[in-house]
Amino acid sequence: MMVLTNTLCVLPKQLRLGNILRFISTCSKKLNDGSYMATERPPLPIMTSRKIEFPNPYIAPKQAWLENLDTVNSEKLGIVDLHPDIFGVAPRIDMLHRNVKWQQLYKYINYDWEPTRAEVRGGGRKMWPQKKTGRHRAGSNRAPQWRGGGKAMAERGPYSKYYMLSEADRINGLCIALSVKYAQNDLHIVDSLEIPTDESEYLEELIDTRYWGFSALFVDDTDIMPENIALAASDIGQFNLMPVYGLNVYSILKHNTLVLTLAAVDKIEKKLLERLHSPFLHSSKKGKRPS
Amino acid sequence: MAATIARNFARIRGHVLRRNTPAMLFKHARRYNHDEVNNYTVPYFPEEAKKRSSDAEYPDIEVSTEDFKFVERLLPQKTVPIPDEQELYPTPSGWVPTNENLQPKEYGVRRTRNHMLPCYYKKHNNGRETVKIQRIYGDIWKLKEDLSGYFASNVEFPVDIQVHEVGRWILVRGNYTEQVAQFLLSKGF
Repeated sequence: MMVLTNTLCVLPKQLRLGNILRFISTCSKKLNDGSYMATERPPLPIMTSRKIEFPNPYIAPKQAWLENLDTVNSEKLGIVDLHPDIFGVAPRIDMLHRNVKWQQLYKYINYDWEPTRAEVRGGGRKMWPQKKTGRHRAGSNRAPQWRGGGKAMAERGPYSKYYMLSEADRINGLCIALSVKYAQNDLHIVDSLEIPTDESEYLEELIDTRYWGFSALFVDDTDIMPENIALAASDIGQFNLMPVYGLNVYSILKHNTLVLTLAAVDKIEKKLLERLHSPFLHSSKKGKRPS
Repeated sequence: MAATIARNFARIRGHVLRRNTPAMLFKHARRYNHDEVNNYTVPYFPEEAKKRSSDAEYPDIEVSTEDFKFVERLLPQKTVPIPDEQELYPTPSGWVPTNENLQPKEYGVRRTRNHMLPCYYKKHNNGRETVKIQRIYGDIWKLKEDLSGYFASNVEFPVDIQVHEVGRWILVRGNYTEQVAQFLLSKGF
């Protein structure tokens, strides 16, 4: 880090590491043979450790490669330490399901509607006398047990399925989703989202050569994405960009690969740890799914 | 949401993308210069207004963030602070810090975010009483052995202990909160 600040003393002091890396990686250049190469880069490795707040005394930090996006083949720029409470928790699948179910339901409106016996046409006449026929006592042929009758306890939409999951569960779900991605080797950390061209073929080739699967979610700490990757990903439906504040369990699980920038990792870790060590975080029965 | 962003980018492809343009929240935001509005005198005397503006030599208002520390003192803390070091332990409230020298290597029990022991007493509806130890790391069976050894020498009756290896917790049958806490403290947790 000291070497970095010395070589880039032109930059303002307040720039964070992620921004510095972002600045560096914009300097990639197209070669004559059509490939791309990053021209300026500080001596590797850029980083081999990372400061971790609220360390876990019993689990060593998880480690991940710091990679780049400005060349098709992956270059290992360094090693990043990840907090074990966020990237190394036990994979509780029930908690993931609870989060996914909540995300599907809270925006769901049930439009199912069926008529009651009062709303079905007809049925005002007593079908046969109360007594002396030997048949059952029938007052209306639109009662629920009749064919063509109304529906008892019917769905009376539109009905909102909105409920709020407790904050403890939401935070737990995010930690578990990140841990699952890390454990399955589907979590990649890059220095920045800068790519040298806005062609979608470049992004496809990059993801194919690195075996990143069919879909990828790129997460940055800001919502103003670099122009090239925004244009390149816009043509392909399964490559998506997302700021940190939009990160959610459903999207993490939906995409094959999760690509975080270093700045995004910093922000995610800071926010989650702040909530995990907050005096106001409670799990409540209120947040559970209404049965 | 990302899909929506991506789709919108597709629509404006080929045009110059706007970068870092702040959103205009109100229509009036551009129409008035706030300084001009604030320094406006009724009736309007330009000289008087000039004296009031912040560019003047002796401006009417001085912007200071000096007293904000008193506000910060009232705001709740975002994370639970680490307790200060005391001269004497246990403190008057009975709190004892962790002691790393006493801790065994095989397993660990981590304090909660409020720096308390993670053991919880519960009285069930059928009268059953249990004590649960959570946040266990490492060899949970060794911890169970040590705990049952502690109970053998400190409690007259045999104590049932349940170990949940996946959930990382230990359940003790009966109200042995004091004994469990003493055991954990003796191990330095």
